[in-house]
Amino acid sequence: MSLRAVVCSLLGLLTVGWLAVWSSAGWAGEGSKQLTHIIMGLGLLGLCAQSRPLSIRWLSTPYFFASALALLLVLIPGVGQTVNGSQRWLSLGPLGTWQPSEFAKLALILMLARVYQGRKPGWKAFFTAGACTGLLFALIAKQPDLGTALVLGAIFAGMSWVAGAPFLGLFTLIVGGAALAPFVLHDYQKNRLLIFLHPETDPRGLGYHITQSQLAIGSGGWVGQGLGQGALSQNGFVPENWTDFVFSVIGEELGLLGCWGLLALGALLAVQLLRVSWTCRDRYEALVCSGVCTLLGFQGLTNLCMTVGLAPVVGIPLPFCTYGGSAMLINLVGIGLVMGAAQADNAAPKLQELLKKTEPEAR
Amino acid sequence: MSLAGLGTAVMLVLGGRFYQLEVLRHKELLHKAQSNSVFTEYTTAPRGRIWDRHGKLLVTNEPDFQLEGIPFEVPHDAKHLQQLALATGQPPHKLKARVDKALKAGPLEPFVFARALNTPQVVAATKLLPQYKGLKLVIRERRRFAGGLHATHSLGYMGEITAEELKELRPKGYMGLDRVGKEGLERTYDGWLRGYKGVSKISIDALGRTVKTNQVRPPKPGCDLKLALDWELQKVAESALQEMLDTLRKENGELSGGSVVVMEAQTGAVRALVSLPQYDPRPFARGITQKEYTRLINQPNLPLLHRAVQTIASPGSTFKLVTSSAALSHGLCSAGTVFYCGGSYAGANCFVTSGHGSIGFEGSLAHSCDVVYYMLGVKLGVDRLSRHAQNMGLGAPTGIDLPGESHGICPTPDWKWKNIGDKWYEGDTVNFSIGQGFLLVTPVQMAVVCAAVANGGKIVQPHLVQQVVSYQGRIMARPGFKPRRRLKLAGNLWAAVRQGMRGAVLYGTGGACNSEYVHVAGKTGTVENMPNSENVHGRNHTWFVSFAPYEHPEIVVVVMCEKSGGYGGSRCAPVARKIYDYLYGPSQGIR
Repeated sequence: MSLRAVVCSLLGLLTVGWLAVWSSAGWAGEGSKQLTHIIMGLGLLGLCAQSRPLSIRWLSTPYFFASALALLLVLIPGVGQTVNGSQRWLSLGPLGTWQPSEFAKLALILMLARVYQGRKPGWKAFFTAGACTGLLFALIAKQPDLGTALVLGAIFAGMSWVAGAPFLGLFTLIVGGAALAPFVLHDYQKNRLLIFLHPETDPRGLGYHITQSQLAIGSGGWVGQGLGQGALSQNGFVPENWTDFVFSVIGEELGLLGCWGLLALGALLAVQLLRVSWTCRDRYEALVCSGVCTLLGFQGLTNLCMTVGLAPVVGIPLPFCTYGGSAMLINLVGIGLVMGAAQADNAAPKLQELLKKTEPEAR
Repeated sequence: MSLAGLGTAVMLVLGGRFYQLEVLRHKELLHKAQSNSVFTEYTTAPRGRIWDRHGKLLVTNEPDFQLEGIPFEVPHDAKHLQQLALATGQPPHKLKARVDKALKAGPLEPFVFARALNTPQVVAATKLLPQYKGLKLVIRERRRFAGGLHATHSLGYMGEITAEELKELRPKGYMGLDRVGKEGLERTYDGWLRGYKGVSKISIDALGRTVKTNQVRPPKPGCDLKLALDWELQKVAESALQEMLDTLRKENGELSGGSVVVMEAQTGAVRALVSLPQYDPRPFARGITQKEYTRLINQPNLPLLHRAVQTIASPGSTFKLVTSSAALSHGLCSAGTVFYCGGSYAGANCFVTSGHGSIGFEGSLAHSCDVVYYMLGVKLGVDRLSRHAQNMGLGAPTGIDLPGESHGICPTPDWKWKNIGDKWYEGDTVNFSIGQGFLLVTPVQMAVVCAAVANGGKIVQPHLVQQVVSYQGRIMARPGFKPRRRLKLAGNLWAAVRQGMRGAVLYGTGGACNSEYVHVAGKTGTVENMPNSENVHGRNHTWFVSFAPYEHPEIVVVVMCEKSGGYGGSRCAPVARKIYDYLYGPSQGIR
């Protein structure tokens, strides 16, 4: 892993994302708060990068159960805060309002890495992992927060695949889940999922977000309208566009070059993270890295697809860009864990270096 | 590596989608985005005002308060409508009927619930507004006749643009629902008066609230019209003619109309232009109802007709100005020639059936001897006479700046063959030479003819507007400033005709116009009519064309009365005299 590449791409993503939030929500609104989140997150990232994730492996189980407890708390009426019909937030008084489901994502990654750390995970490990995922999945789906629940599913699938869990079980689970979905989901959720195919059928209702987001992105052109100049982004045509639809601001105000740049930065970061996960000597750490990769990659790609109308609209944020304290902290901590795992003593030495070590006096 | 391949594929798909949205579909999406976020609003510029020659304000603008809304959105149940009708001073059942009709025809089209509200009504309506969602109090502009209701035909009125007009005028920046000049100067000078619309781009947010107003171009006020019209003279002329028409009505028991043209002999500037009866243009300014309009156009004396420029009638003996000057110019007679009138010529009688006996050129004009002109006309022949009449401006519009001017008819054998389907007889020439028969002229054409005699052969272009003045005070146009053409004829020829006209006033047919303040020269005309459907009793049309002062002509006055009966000297000359008395009498024409 090239440290420079990670830092550059990460800072680039953070800058573009923050500019978009600042442009659409303003400094007095979410802009300043988001900057606080970024600074806090970068501090935690530095802390995590100091030590190898192995050293905090003991935290996995308690952290996991703490998350589950927090998710339970959220569901208790009066404790959890309800916004837009979903009970997702937990208020900690002066410490701000946090979203336990975001923390649950990291908890699941650490827990699954711990479960799968054995050399060849069998059915027992697979079922344990499935049970852990199912617990969090159920609690989050109850809120209801379909997007985050899907992210948990993706983490489970990705990490099981990397760990080499029984392919049959994984396959059955995914196919079964997909087959069951129509019976489990509420009607409004189904409508929301399918409207992206024909947003024009309901331009004032469910299709509104999709239509307006595409209009905003489309009106950007090559170089965009300029920061703070987007007619749709600035005037509330894409409602709450500092959250999940923050990409429409980037599209409208920074244009195609901005979009491609964002995509390139994301790809660069993803490649660096994947490299770490491949080169890690320790299986636990390799799994954590692949979990973080899945988390960021799945969220990023799904969010981009849904803003440009290639995927159904589910509440999945764009990592490092979407406004949100919990998500920002968790994503940066995830990167921190990967950087910790990438420390020199963990990376598998390259062949050249091995040769040098074994034949010091070859010359 | 399959993961790398998958990643690359997803990246390519996403990057391609960005390219599709932001480059390939950019124009379409940007247009859509702007059309629902940016509105273009046009503000109508203040319309130019109209002033008379002394700087008296004749037509200006005043605010017109209207209640507008979408009938479907505004509460339209019986109770609400009744309340609204009471507040705006309308009969409730009428408002309800109108709203019901609008609901059927186009429930989503903008609709005017009440217009021309006075101050208490505006107050009452404003109090009601909160209960009526979607009802707006709009301030529009309408025309106000600041100088009173005179010369209404010439000033004209405005109305909503029609579909055909819009099709023609759209390239010039006109839009639907615009109000445009429909008649008179308002129509002729609409392009000058209306100015340029202001354009603002209004950005709205998702809830339709105005976020930003960007004035791309401020409205540019229209140009003012400075008329040659003398408002006081106009009033004098109107009352003089009206008096005469009232007398005629008493005598004849029949409504008749008339017109007066007062024009500067040298320039063609129209000092007064009267057409009676007049109509009230104010219903047009506020939007005339079908019922009112039907009543107006069904009146037997045609009040909507601008008689000075639109009526065509035979000029009668006033045409002798043309015949005599034609004969002089072709050398058929001179100022000293003596003719003999035996009372009839080739079966056509003289106006004095006993005959004038020996009569000079001057006397022939002064006493309006027909036989002399029968002879001269036959000697001239129809071609030469017709060509001369056309040269003097008959048979073609004079170019006065009013819409709908009549061409009149200056007959030729060709014309008769095409339109009547018969060949030209000598009898037609005989009729033509004294202004009867096929020849038809407008009063303003006769004014041009008379001015040509008075000013020595200059064919002026009559014009009401002297200057078009921009709102910054620059003179943008001077319509009719140049005469249309000059007739290349000897000066003493015109002097001979003028002498005959002076004789008519001094000792001839036009004695009723012998003003004590100024030396008037004139020519009477009496047109004999056959009874027909329009003129049941076959009453005469009467004319008087004149100019003054005789020595250095300044003013041309043409008076014409329709179906007046009597003679030009008794019907029209007194009207002209009142005008001269006003202009040259003790008041000196000063207000």
